[in-house]
Amino acid sequence: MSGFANERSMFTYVIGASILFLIGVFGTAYLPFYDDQMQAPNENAELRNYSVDSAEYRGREVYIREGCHVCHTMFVRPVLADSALGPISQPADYYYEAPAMLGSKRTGADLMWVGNRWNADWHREHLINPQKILPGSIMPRYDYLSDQDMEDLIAYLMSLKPSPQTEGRPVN
Amino acid sequence: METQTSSDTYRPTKIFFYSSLVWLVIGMIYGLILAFKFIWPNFLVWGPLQVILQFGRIRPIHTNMLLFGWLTMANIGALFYVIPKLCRNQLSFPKMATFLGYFWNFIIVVGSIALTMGYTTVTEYGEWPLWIDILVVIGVAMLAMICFSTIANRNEKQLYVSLWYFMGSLIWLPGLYIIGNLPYKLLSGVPQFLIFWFYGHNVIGLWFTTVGVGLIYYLLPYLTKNPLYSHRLSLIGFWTIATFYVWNGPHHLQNGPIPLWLMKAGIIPSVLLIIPVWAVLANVFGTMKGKWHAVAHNTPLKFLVTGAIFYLITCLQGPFQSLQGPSSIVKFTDWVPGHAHLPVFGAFSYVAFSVMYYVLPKIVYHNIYSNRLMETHFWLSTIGLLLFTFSTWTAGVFEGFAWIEGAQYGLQFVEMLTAMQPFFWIRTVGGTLMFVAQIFFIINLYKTIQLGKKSQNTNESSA
Amino acid sequence: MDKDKQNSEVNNEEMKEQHPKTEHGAPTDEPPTPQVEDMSKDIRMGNAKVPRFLVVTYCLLAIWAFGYALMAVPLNQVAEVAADGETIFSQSCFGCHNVTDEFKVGPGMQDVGLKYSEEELQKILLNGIGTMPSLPNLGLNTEQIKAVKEYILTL
Repeated sequence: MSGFANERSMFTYVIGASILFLIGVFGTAYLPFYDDQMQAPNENAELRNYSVDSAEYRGREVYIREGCHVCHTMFVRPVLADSALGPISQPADYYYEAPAMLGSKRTGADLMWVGNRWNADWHREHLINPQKILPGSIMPRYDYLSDQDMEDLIAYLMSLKPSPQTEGRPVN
Repeated sequence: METQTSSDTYRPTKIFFYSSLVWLVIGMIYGLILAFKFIWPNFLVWGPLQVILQFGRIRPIHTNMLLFGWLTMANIGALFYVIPKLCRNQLSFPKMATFLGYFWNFIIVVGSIALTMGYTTVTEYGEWPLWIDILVVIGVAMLAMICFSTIANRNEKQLYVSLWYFMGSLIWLPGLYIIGNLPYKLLSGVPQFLIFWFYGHNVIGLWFTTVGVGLIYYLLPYLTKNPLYSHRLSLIGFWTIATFYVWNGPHHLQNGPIPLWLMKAGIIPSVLLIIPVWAVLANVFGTMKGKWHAVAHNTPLKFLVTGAIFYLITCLQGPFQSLQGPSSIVKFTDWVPGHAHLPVFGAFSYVAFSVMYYVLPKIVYHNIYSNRLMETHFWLSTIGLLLFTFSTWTAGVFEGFAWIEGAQYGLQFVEMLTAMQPFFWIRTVGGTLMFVAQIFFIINLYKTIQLGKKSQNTNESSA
Repeated sequence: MDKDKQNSEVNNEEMKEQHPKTEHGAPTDEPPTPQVEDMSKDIRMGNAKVPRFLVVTYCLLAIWAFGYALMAVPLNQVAEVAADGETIFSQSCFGCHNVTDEFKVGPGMQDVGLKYSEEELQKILLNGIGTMPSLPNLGLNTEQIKAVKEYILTL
């Protein structure tokens, strides 16, 4: 442990580590806020910009509270594995999403455009007893939700539709 | 659990170590419940348990409890022991350090209660609500103050490699925790999700990884009685991990709604992480030269070296998964939990086990109770982890290809899940083995602590 | 508290190996009360060169990084997913429905446009009717359902 005289000062490490960290923060956490693609809402974003007193807004709170985002993504990629899920997600779709729930694990199916897939009655039956509708499903039962919560959640799920302009949207 | 007087210099380390063991057990029980719910979705659906053990609610409890209750507390306990040793002085602010131990436990308790009640910010690994985040930041600030003050008042001029890593980690943790947990209503959209993953990836990379690597650098020369292989490799390893790791967040949106420049800015550093990882591993293997026979009968060294190898495997997977092609197949599948358990359990929990086996005898003044239990702990953990990871990786690849063939929602998706049941079973068996291993670990440490107390008491009475 | 001074030359590991359970003394490579401990005696720092294979790896990674930065393009694998109504019909509907007016499991599809308005048809396709499952339940997406609807309206 001798002969490395320049390694006797803490400041090299403190300052070096801080600067390198801040450069990374600037690149990956700050600059994206100034990217054009992320800065303009589109029709889909407007459809998902729920007013605070709407059923969809309350339904979204239920969605968050029950941790639906833990197993369901909202994230359609231009890859074969997502080919039947609907229009490819674009940054502008998420403009008003707070918190953003793009997700990281698909234990269940993607829900980006789930409003297109089923109807409200289907959702009700499915949430109360998923195994009855989809035998073999490992989704938990949500039969403990209050009627209000259930209807709000269904309203939120049914609102997850692409705007008419979005259908058949090409990848850019 | 703690009955020593406050004059005990190792009190903070003890508090952190002993509490971390409690969180290890509870956190892994949550993990097991999750694994069983993959097989029987109605597992423990009984009265109020249906709600408080609902999958979506307890998955964040499992991750937070093990990351912040077990591994962070074990790391802090290790820091409070190792830093004074490397600085040849005593821990600064010992009373604050003791308080921090209780404070941190309080955070884990209230955090878990909040998550059980459904208060979550959705940030992965940072789901605790804002007011708890503020407590965490206060706690981390105290931690940084204690450690930096200890290092500033050192009696050893030279800063050893481990201290570089510790100083870096103690700057990065508060920084990324604050940025990652900004009030979520203030931000929105994809940039916010990028911040979530800036935090989620870096809390692993700039806290658990860097503290773990620092501890490897500390323990390895002791356990092998060899000099650390190369000073130059240590330098390369430290400065490249500091440069590249911060940039890893965007690869979590690979193929997703992000602009091309950001995708490149995320993927290139992800792949370049091979540089620091291989530098660390070359240093580990170089130091091990001529001492491999010692691994056979030195369990702490066995844990340390196996941990380093798991670190290598994780960081071979990481750059591979971040590329567009592989990502388009394995992303979102069960591959991901397999990959995520490898660093936090395989690599850095193994380092923490090694640290505890090495440090505990020195702070309770008694040798580890049983070598056989240590060996059992090692082999059950390793077999369990390998079953867990290989089953999830295989299932993940199958799922990825099933999606490509169209099983993306509805009945086909569920049929795909049904076909994965054998893998979910293997995962559960692996998880159970991992859990049982920790029971042996804790029994062993408990016996050691008890014997240490007994021999100390007889010593005091005879003196 | 100085119980372990007498065997201070025995190091911790050897002790563990020799007396895994019986030895109740403290580990001995360290004074029981933490005092100044000479770190330089315990940890020595080697100064080996960076191994050749690592240097090669680093160079290759640097070259790759430049190439990637210049040449990477976003992935676009979205094959024109069969939004072809006739194909989908033959795969998903033909089991029960003929394209003529002949009854199979369900009614034949010829002139179905006269029986139902386009709106009614859309509802039936989305929700099913009688024992017929809804098309989303068969795993079809919006585009595909639209294509099927347009196809059967031509029959």
